[in-house]
Amino acid sequence: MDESEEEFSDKSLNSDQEDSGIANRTRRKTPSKSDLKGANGGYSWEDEYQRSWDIVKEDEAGSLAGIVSGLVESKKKRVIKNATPFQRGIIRNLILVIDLSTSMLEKDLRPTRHSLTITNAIQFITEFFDQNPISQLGIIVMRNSLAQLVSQVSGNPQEHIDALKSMRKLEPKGDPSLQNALEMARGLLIHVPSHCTREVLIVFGSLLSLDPGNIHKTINSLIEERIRVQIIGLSAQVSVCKKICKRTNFGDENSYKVILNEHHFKDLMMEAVIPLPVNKINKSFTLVKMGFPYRISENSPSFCSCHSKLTYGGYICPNCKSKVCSLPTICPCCNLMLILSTHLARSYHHLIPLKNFEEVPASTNYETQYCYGCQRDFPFNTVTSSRYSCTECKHHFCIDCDVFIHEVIHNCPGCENK
Amino acid sequence: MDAITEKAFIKDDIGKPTTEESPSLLTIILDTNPTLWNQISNKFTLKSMIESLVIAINAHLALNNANQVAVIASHSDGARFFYPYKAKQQHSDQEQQERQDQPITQMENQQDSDGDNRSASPEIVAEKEKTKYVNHQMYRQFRLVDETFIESLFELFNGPIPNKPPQNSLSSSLTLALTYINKQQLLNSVLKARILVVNISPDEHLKYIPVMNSIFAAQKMKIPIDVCQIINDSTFLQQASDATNGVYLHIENLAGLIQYLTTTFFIDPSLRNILITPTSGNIDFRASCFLTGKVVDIGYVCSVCLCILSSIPKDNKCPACDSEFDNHVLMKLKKKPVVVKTKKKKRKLNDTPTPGVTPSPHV
Repeated sequence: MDESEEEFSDKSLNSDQEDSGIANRTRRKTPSKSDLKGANGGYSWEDEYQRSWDIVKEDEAGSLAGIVSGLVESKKKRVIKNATPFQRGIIRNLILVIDLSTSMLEKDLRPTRHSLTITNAIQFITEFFDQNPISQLGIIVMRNSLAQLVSQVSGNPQEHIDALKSMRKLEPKGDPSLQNALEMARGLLIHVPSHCTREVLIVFGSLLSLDPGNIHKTINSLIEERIRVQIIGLSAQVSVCKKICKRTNFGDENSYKVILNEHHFKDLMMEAVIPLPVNKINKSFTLVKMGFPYRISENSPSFCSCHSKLTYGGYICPNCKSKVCSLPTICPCCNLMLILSTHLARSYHHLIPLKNFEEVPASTNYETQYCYGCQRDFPFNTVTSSRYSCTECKHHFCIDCDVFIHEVIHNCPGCENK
Repeated sequence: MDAITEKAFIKDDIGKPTTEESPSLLTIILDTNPTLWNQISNKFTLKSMIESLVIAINAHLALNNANQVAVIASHSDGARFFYPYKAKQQHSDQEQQERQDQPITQMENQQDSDGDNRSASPEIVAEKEKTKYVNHQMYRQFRLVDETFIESLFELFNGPIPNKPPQNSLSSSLTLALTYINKQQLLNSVLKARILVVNISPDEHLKYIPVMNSIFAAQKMKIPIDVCQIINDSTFLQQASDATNGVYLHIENLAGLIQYLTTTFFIDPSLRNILITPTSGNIDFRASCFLTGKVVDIGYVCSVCLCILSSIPKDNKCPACDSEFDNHVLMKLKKKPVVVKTKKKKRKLNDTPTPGVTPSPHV
């Protein structure tokens, strides 16, 4: 993988992490591709250094209110992105691959790359199972040129989090091997039924991969198995990563991203929580038979069919009437998938996203004086209206309600009232 | 999986030493479907329900000076706020010309709707005394809430009958309640909140996805949804209260309603781990079919859009997302349970003399 090592680009330089880890990077051969140029035509490292406090400037009246509302706005605008409904692969099977090579000891991310990656991964897992409750996940680490399975593929977030916590003590060592990790992930995903997605998410801190064989063969087999790979680079763009992502995602390069700073790292991880849209090639739609069990409570304990332990109460499979302890699960007796309808409900908003609200142009006379959601009066402001209206029901909302409606509840109260 | 679903509430608030009682917001969603209330009017009237609710509201306000109340009506034509009552402000604007008493009503309404109870001037109090529903000598904090609540209720019932077909507005009421709570919690970060749903409507016509979205949002915000279910049992509200660590009570003896309201539904969310709540352990987790609206226990779920179907659609296409299902899998689903079993049994009966089908012991 020597040639890929040479061909890298450094997009992480324009942020505030120019202290460490730079020296060894800049020593290498500089890439000559034109796509590395920044917005103003120069290289990104030739850009003027942007300090976060320079953004805040007082207006003519010496007030910060306009800036503050602008910041709130920009935060919101980052949140609202795609409201177009996609067919998404909701039942996901994802292997999270974490780099544990010596490059993860770098301190360019605070406190170290390793520590921050673990922290972000724990958050990712919590959020992943929150939003994809009927999905499965497994964790692999790349350490000492080997791929190691640290957490089996399962739907229990707590097991994964415990495994990640124990990895905090595990010191990064040696070089990573993308091929080994991908081959192992392939092995774990090969049995997954066709209506589920097969995904690999790699957090890659190194600029090299020490592989036992030809990685391109591995990529071909990944394509054959319809496994989609996403990579988050922590240092610089690596050619082979780009190739892997592009080829396994049907020519789409967006699944390979290099972080700009700590915050961006977290954002990229959280982006991976949202299920991927279904591709034309990838699609296989099926009906899955599922049972919605009812819960019982008992005065005397009875055996559960999942652990063969005496328990008080549990969920009764509607198909075979056996008792299981927790949901979602697959009934050990009749193999029926048992879930709660609330689990399904968590994924609905990915499929049926709420339309974005439009900003109401400032005027002197509005239809309403208060926010439809929280019943509070709008602030009197001539510059901006601070109102956002639903395109369907035309009700006006304040920014707090707008954000809450789109991020948490995914229902428009006005449209519900129609 | 259990860890992220049911147990989400349990670990909270145990270790924290609470020095001062934090204020609490009680949001009541009252189902005011006139037809259904009329149906049970021989047993129980909306009036006695209101009486009990008012007592419960007052009791809640009495517990802590900073406690807040919001009342939302889930009417047959949509949800609306009873308290704080903003619509009145606009409504009175229209009436201004007729009544010719602009300054007073406007001021009065603004004071009311702000929920700012302490700043009313004496003139407004004097004006308030004219209102007919609540005793004017009542403790002011109570009176402001009760008056607005009852007045808006009367206004709703005396108003024009909507010509829209009646619907179940639970989804919009829950959404409104959550947006209101969210804002109040943003303004006051220590504010605790809970929702009490007084429901009479049956599960049919319920907007499934919005209700589920609201339940999930409440679960995320750790807001318990208590359900006081009258007459018809409701599957989805059972699930709502179970998912959010709330109390679900199906009340048959309506005479003792006030006792239920002031005991079972009065438990502070932080105390729920200590007390044994009367929620029954047997909960129906069935879902509703997207096509027929029937409640199903074994359903077929589209792998793309997760819509729940009670039977396999005839054209092998998902009715919601229009994706065509894999024929092979459908065949499997259709074939298995019924056809194969009966055939085998018949064969056994008919074909026992021929040795080829079932291996006989001496072969």
